[in-house]
Amino acid sequence: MPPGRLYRVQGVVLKSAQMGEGDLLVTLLTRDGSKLRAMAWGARKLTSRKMGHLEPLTLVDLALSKTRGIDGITQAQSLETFAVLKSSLEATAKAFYLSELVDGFALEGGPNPPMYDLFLGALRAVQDSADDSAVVLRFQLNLLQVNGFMPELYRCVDCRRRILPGDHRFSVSLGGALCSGCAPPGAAIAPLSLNAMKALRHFHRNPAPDAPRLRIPPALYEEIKSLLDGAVRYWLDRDIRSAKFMEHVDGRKAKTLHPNPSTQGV
Amino acid sequence: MNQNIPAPAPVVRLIQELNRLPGIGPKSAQRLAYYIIRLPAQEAQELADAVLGVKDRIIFCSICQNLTEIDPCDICSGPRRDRSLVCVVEEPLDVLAMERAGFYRGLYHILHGVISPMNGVGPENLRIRELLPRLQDGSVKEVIIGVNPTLEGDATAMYVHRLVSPLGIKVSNLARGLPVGGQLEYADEVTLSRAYQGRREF
Repeated sequence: MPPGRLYRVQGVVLKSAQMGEGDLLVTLLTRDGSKLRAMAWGARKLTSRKMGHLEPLTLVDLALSKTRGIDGITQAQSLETFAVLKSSLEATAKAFYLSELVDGFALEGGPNPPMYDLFLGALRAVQDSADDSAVVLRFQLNLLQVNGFMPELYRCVDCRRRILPGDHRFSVSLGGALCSGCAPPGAAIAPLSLNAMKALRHFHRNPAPDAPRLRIPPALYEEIKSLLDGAVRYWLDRDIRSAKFMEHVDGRKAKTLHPNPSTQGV
Repeated sequence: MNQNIPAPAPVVRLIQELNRLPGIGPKSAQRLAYYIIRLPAQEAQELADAVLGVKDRIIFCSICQNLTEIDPCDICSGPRRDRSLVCVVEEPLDVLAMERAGFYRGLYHILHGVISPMNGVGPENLRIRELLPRLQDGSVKEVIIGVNPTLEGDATAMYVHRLVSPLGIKVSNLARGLPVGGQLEYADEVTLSRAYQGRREF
């Protein structure tokens, strides 16, 4: 597209950074699932017509002007502001975390429409039930999936035999579950309980954020979170900075969800 | 980029140092550097003294955490200040803005930032915990949260509210809504809904 041409984009604002005297560098996940950075000139000034529309965690419709450098935002209109989400500290902390994950996995010029649908759905789920910590776990697993990093949950990553209930461990670096007979040298292998395996498979088979809720006791939550955090950290090759705040706000309170995972098949 | 400037080493160093300042790009840094080179020696010395002076003499007020030369600062030690009000703001510049407006006679508490989880800034990186001892003796009746109306500012406001409200102290937020000189048709729905919620009788 030649410089000066106008184009329109819909997307969710992931973050913004202050630039110069009154400008804002906005990072979005666009509807095609790619990351876009654009400059909103003068957006931080009190009388700016764009300011309120470019807040992080807002679904926006933008008009942009193509330039030789970074594209400029000429008009902005918010489509969904997630006002209820932003009025809850727990929900906001979770949404910060989801945004940072998406910011880490999304690529500029690399379309990934399922990631956009997953992210938007997860924000709506967090808004509807901020106390449902399974939303974050489900999002982590399915974010790995839509980016091609889905951990293997059904066959041993070493011998390729079908994983039997109760006979499994987990290795992030090897790419998923291992049967108890396989122990490749040098691989970091973590235990994987039956209920954790059931929950992971449930999240995989029911990727929609509004899927039936699970009752996840705190210890099981910690086990799954630890595995998925490890996988996310491994593929992004860095820590997720907003995780600390999410856990601080969450206060490690008991997770009460429905129904019992024992009712779900492996 | 500055390493390629065909200039004597001290000039290159000055350009590089100026380039590190916020809002100063490479071109502005070069212009400022050559302006400083042309300054009379005494004016250049005064500029250097001013820079060193703020580093040598400026400290944080032990009460409000504002920048000051004496501790406690003029505002915290001011006899005419209303000690029942504490306004929590992000930066020292926000105090200047409030003081310039001239309507507020209470005290301040400066957080020196807002909670910004994606940038690794949590409550422990701000001066939030210094606020709580100020509220223990019962003299403060209201904490006014005056952080910027951004997502991160709102998260900070909710966090401060959660800390302060168990103490039985009134916590209020600066009003949000339509700016003076703004236009209704360009307002986003959050701003409009806040303006509607905060409407007042004529």
